[in-house]
Amino acid sequence: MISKRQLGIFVIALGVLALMGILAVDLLGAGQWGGFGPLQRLGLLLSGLTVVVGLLLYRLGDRPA
Amino acid sequence: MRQMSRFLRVLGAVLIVLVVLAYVGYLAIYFTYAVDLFRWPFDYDQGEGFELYDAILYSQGEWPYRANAVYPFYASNYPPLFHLLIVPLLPLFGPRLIAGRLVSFVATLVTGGAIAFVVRRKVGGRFIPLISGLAFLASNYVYQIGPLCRMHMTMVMFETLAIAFVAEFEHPKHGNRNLLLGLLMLLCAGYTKQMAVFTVVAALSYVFLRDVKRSIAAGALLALAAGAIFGLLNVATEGQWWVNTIQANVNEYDYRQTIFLFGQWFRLHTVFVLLAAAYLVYETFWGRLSAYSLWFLFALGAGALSGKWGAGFGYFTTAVAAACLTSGLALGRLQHWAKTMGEREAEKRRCSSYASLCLACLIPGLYLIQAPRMLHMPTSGPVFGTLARYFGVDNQLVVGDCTTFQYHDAMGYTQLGHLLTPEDYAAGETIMDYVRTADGPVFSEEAMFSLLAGEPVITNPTQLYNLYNNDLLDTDEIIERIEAQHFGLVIFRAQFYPPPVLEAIGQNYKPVEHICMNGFYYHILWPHRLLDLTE
Repeated sequence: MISKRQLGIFVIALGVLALMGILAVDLLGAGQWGGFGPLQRLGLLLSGLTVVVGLLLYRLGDRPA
Repeated sequence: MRQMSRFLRVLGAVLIVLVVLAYVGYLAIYFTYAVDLFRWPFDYDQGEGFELYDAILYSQGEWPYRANAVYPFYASNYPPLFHLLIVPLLPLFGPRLIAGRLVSFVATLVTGGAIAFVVRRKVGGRFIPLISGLAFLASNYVYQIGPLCRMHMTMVMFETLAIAFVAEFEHPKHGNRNLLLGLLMLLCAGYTKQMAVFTVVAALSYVFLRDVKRSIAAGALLALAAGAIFGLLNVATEGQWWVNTIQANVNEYDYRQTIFLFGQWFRLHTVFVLLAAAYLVYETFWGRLSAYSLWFLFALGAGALSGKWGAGFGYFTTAVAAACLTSGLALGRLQHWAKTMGEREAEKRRCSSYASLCLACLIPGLYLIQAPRMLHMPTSGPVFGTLARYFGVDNQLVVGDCTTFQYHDAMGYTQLGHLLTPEDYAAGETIMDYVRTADGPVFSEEAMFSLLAGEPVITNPTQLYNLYNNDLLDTDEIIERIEAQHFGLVIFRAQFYPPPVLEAIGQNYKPVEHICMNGFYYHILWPHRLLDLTE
């Protein structure tokens, strides 16, 4: 059984990975836009929200997820 | 106070009657549309005929996964299960679209029934389960796609059944049976349409949260079964399965289309989506995540793919099913709170009684707010014409390429949903006259003209287009045949062919008539050799 804390850690990791991926798009020169594209802005918002949800879950401790 | 209670009781009862009338009304509109489509012999949605043709190929013991570069330049890009389900109906109906349309239509009814069944088991009562099931059938998206000979709704049926079974994998007596049945349904969903992968992830995530070991075993079992079938299909079709169902489905993506469709989906199903989202938040932070909430969350992932070329609002039908089901559970949870509020003291009991009475009005009130948001109906005829005037939508019609449909839909422009007219049938017969008298094979963008005339089906345009865009199509032979004016007739609708093919046709074939049928222009082209003779 997975606890809320464990799920929180997973969700935070997912959000951070997504964040890194979004930033890496520019470093690799992929995408259609020269600068920070609209999809990246949307991705940034969603991954930020994911990290926040993960942090909240983390604080809920060992209750079952 | 007593008067207030009586008022709330009466108001609740009136609202319930209105809600049932509204959602049963949507069901009646759905049946009217379905019956109208069952009679229509031609493609209503481009692609229906190709799906029927896949079933015909299976019934003849042939694979639809073939080399696209050689005559008749035809291959399917979908998994086989939906087409295999049509096969037993072919002896009954012949090569007619009704066989596939019936399968899909029944699948939507089963899905609605499954949603109602699950909500009934979890929530109890009759009203919320009934409306949860009917709400699915009242959705604009389900209405439009449900009775088409397309596989999408059959996938949604298997997904719904899979989630219903997997949700009960911890049942003390039938846990393993439920899990196995759930996995089987997931396998069926995936081999109906590839998009079911999001439901697979949702179901396995749910098992993982509760029992890590069983989830790993279940995942391995599913991967083994799916992989074995995949490998066998690929070997049996000499690699064409991989090319046509995987490589050909890598398309351009437009995020603006996804954002537009997310907005439309939310606007049409606002109450269901908000209730389902609230239930997801509640379970995430205060309760335990259920299979249904996770399904709703992951179904949004399928919606995110709707920006692909060739995709559309159909990608949200899984999310619609999940929202209808989860919103029913959310309302059930509210009812439960109201009932358990006053278990001890007299004061609390009074509060509980008033809360229950308020909910008895609030719940039908929410369903009633939602009902007009999905408004879709024919606007002509003695019954629908009067109703359309009553609702004030008799002038808010959908405009097609060459006609104005006597149909209103809250989603705005749509190519589906309207009823067929006598003019459409007459136009179909005119096109069939061209097909029957063609001097050579018919190069048609829709399969039904050829199938009805007993002619071979040539090309699957979107498949050729997708393969061409992925550098997987050799167009030499098809262009050679076009230049030799091998085809006696070309029928275009959307011109979804690779540019070199369209160019070759433009140089060797000439339009002779543009026929308006089902709201679209069908362009009839003859080879130059035939026009030279007639001149």
